[in-house]
Amino acid sequence: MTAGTGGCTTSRSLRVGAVQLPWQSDLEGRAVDWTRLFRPGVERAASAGCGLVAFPSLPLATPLEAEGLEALKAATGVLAREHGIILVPGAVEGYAVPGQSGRGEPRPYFRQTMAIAPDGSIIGEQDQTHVSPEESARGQLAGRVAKAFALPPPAPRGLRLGMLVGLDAWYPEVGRILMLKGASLLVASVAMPAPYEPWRQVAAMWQQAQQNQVFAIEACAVGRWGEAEFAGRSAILGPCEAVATGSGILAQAGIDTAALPVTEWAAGIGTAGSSEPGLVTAELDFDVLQSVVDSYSIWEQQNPDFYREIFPGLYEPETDESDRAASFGERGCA
Amino acid sequence: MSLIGRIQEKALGAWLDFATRQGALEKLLASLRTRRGESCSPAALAASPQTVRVAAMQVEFELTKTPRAFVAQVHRLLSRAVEQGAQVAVFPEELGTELLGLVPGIGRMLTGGLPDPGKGGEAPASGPEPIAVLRFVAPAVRRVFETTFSTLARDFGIWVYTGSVNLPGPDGRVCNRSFLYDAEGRRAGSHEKLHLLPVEANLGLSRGSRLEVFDTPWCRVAIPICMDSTYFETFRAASSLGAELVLLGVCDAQPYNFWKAHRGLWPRVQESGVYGAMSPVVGRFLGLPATQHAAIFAPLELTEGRDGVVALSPEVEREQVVVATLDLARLRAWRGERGPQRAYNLDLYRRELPQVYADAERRWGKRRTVLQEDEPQVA
Repeated sequence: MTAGTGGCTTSRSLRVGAVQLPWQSDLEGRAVDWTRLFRPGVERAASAGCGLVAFPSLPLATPLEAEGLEALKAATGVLAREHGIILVPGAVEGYAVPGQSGRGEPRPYFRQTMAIAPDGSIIGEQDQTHVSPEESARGQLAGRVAKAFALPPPAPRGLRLGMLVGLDAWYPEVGRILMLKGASLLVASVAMPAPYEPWRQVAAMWQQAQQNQVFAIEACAVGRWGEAEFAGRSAILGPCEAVATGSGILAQAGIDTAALPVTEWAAGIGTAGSSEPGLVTAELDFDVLQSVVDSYSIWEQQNPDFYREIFPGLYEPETDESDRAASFGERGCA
Repeated sequence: MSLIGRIQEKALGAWLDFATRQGALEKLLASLRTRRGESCSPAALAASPQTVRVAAMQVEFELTKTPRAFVAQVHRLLSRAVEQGAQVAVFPEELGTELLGLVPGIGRMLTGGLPDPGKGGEAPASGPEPIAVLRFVAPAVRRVFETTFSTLARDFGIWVYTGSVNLPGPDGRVCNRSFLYDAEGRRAGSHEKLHLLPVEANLGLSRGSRLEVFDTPWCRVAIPICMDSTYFETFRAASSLGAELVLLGVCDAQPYNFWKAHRGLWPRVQESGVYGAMSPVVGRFLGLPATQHAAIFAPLELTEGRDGVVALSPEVEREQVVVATLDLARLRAWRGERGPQRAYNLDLYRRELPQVYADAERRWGKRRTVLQEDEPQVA
């Protein structure tokens, strides 16, 4: 399925793809044939004219050692070079330090994603920044920075990419920080537990695209991994005003967004069929995005005086919530 | 101003003072057959301290030429809410703008002269300065607005979020303001809109710089206004201050679009883990179509359809009252087990916020460019 914000590719547009990849039970970190895993999706995206393709979170029996990560980077670098494409090969877990953990302690690791340039080099790497208590108990560490990376051709000059992993997609702080660092394209690699819940997905990257006026790619893992089953509908998203139907959904797996009037699409969101492997693509027109921002700018109407007062203090834990002052602001007592 | 102009201004001021005189307002309100509800009585509160029943009004906008018309509208809507056992009622943004109709002949000027609020247009080139008009009519508007809500909140025995009204404060700044009245008619809180539409800024309104939350018999509430819900920052602040219910008045002056209507309160409720009740203006707002559902939202896991919707009005153009009971114990249990604070990244926030806003302002000024064609890579 393909869709777009406007006409054909220009120097200020980029065709992108999101691969909806089935998880496989045989993904043992050291033994993974990365080339075999990524090649079909990369080839399909390249033949569809994509300049960038994103993959979902990938399951591994155990996090990768340093040499495993290097093997992943090398294999995806070759694929990116072969096809002249920017590749975001999903998210994997990698140990934070070499060697074994202490007795009884889980060995710390990060879940991380990266972007590979068409020359095979690493554009940037990003760790998942929001980690659930359950993930933390297994040893996962949270990344401490969120970065926006300048993309090389075939991306338009000056396009910056922000990457989100897993839970980050549901935390508005991440999208806001990345947008403020200049990212106009966000890529999220996610894996949502089955059964598919459409509104959980709407609450993730769709709303990040709306409140930051950016394009977003959401690549979902599907299928079964051990006892767990995952479902999702990979999507390419933008501000409602940048999409002809007004839905903010440029393309989504299993849905013909162009054929449905917005109200019917809305009614159907809860009854769409099961998640399946596949590729969705769309043309992102950054002139259209700029015109959306120029027409009505969320950035321009922000309230920095207020934000200076509330950040970062509002997140600090309180020992007794009732002790917290009941106001934030210049005349408040926070 | 010419001599004739000054005479006209004095005459109009005298007329507004007379039309909205306090004694007449109180007499009018006293003449209504208002039956006090029992939903906020001590017995009712003791019986169900962990639930709150909320009514979200969907209000057809109308410039009211007399205080009587405004009072009748608020009374009618509150009657419907109280009949359904509501303990808190929510009114829309710009409700107070109805009272500009007290100025003879202003209707044609307003419906023809305001720019599209979604487009950031300029203020009208001719005619009186809009901000000067708001200042001029403020004493009359304030008198009717405050007296109506204070009296009816007390007489019905219900907490009321008034929706908003553009009024000057003690410092002279004209802000889009909302108020909260308790069931005895006492003012329990107020809010100045933090995020303005371009048209509001162009008209000369000032934005607020403070967010407060207010204690009610059930929980802490926040009372932001419309565009405040476009910004996650408002709701993170409210939630961190202990708000469990956010009351919101909105005025979406554009044709209805399902997806655009789901921006604002719905995602803010999901990412903040609070209940939310939204009251819209509908119909024609100063010459523009106004559409939206009155709605009550909750985190996905707390709704039957796992869609985040507790209650929704059946259509978007006419008067409606939507009522639902919210289970605070269930919300608190969910927040403890699944709430967003479980995965906060304090290191990231301390490092980036609020500096990243200042850095972006230095880079962009007022105009955000989506392609950073002339800048080095950001670290």
